[in-house]
Amino acid sequence: MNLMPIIEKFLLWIEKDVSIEGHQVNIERLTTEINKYLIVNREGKEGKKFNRLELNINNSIDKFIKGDEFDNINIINLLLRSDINLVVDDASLMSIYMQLYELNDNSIEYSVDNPTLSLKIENLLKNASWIGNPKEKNNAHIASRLIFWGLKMEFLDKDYAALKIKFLVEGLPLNELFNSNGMVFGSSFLLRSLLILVREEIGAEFLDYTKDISELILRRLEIKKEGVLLMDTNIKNEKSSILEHLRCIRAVLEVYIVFGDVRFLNAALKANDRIYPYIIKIKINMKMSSRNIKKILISFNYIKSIKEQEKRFSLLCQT
Amino acid sequence: MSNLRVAISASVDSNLYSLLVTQGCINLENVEIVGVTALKTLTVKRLRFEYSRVGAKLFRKIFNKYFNTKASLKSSPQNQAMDSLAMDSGLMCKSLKKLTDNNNIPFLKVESPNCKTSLEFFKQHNPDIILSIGSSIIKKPFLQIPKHGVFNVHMGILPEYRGIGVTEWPIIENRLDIGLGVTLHIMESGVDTGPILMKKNISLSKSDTLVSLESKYLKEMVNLMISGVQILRDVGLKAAPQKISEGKQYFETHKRMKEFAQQRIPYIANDKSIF
Repeated sequence: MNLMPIIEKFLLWIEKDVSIEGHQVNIERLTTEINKYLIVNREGKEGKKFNRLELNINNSIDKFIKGDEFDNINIINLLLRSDINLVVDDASLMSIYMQLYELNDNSIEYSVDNPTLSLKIENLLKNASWIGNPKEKNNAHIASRLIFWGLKMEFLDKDYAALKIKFLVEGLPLNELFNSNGMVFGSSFLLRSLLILVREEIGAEFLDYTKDISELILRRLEIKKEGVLLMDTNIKNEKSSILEHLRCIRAVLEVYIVFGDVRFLNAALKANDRIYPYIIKIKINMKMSSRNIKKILISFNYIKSIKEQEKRFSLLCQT
Repeated sequence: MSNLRVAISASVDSNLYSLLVTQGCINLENVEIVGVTALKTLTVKRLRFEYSRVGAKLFRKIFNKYFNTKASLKSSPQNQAMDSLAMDSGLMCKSLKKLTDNNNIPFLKVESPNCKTSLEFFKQHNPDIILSIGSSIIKKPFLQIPKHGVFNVHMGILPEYRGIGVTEWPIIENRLDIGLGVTLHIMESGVDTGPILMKKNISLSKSDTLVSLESKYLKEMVNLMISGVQILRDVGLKAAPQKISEGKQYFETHKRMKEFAQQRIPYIANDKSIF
């Protein structure tokens, strides 16, 4: 019996790489599942009732899927009123709602320097350290997250943000970004805030640090080739690590946009391929639970990451 | 005039680049090859390393090498170019073991250049230089053995293009002003950071493909390594420390980036350019 054709078929099967077509099929599947979720979870359908936050979440999911404009005013007010710990707890609906907004690029501009937010950041920074105890680490993470959202949604004064970022940068020496346990959880927000400031030409003093921290993340992605970056955190939930990993990929794409260094686009292409097996396992069900909405959030981050990657790659190919 | 004592730390036994450099050194007068090592192919460590490098394609490589003789004998234009290169240098053997046996050169198969057996072998033969060919990261104890250091030819122009995939990166980045080329340098524990000895640019023509470039590279890598040995033997070599800040470390290109590089060649190549 000639085994060659069978072996040949087997080799072709195991060599099959992740392709952009594979990503697109995945995106279509996730979009279909999210649409089904939205249909089932319509207010009033089969007597369904939701609280205001749940309604807002479903509304945001709907807008994201349709590519509609987001109105930031609701989310900003909610952010300012809510308990700060809810913002950072990846499992809370409040946090998920904030993160849905963070994905949005078509926001209605709402510029205001809000003293309430500044006060929250000040309080966190009083007891914040990237390399301190878990409480201090958590505070550094939440503060970075708030500053990033404030900058992204344009309701935090950029000079004020730069001042606070300086404190966070000084507290994260480059050799501490990756320790034996993994990457400092939440540092993607610091890098993305730095990139906004550098792009806006406010962050000249952070330029070298931003380049160095970007290079460290690039090396980690390229050398260790982890499917999902190992995180220095006590959060055991793999979904949180996937989310932070996707935020890192998006940060790497943003580094490419800001500095034009193609190595970062190349790293994002590979990192998105490596995350594919994890995304393919994500199945969205019809439940309005934080676990399920988190899967939607992961899907949205993945979709954004692939779309941005494709946009940038196609622009590169036109040069 | 005393002989220059050269040792060679080669890749696998049948690697053409290793064979050509070894043959080239045999042909040189007043150069004595004091020992050659080649990597053992089928060790768990090596298979693991290769898998991390090429992924599932490793199974295809093993299959073609050991079971699918038809595939390994296929004569592509690329293979023909390699064959003519081998003929030009007078290379008659397809194995380092055979080549060294024919020339009474001590030969040893090792797991890695950094392993104990390899270190002891090279220390015992007390070389002036070691030529490192296609091996992985070399550690300090190995680097300290030869009097004049460990020579390596990097497939890119240093200091600008350190790391992997640097045959494609200047094309992707449209940096033909820096150019494609090879650099002879003294190895350090960092990746391609050692002092530079010599460089040679490689021209890119519109008809080139990434595959055809491989044979251009191979030819220049062999020439540069042999020239380095010759110059060291005759007049000595001056090494210029690298300015690390002038370059970047590059990593393997994604397959779509590779395709982009391939498509870009006819648009950016300048057939008239002479480096």
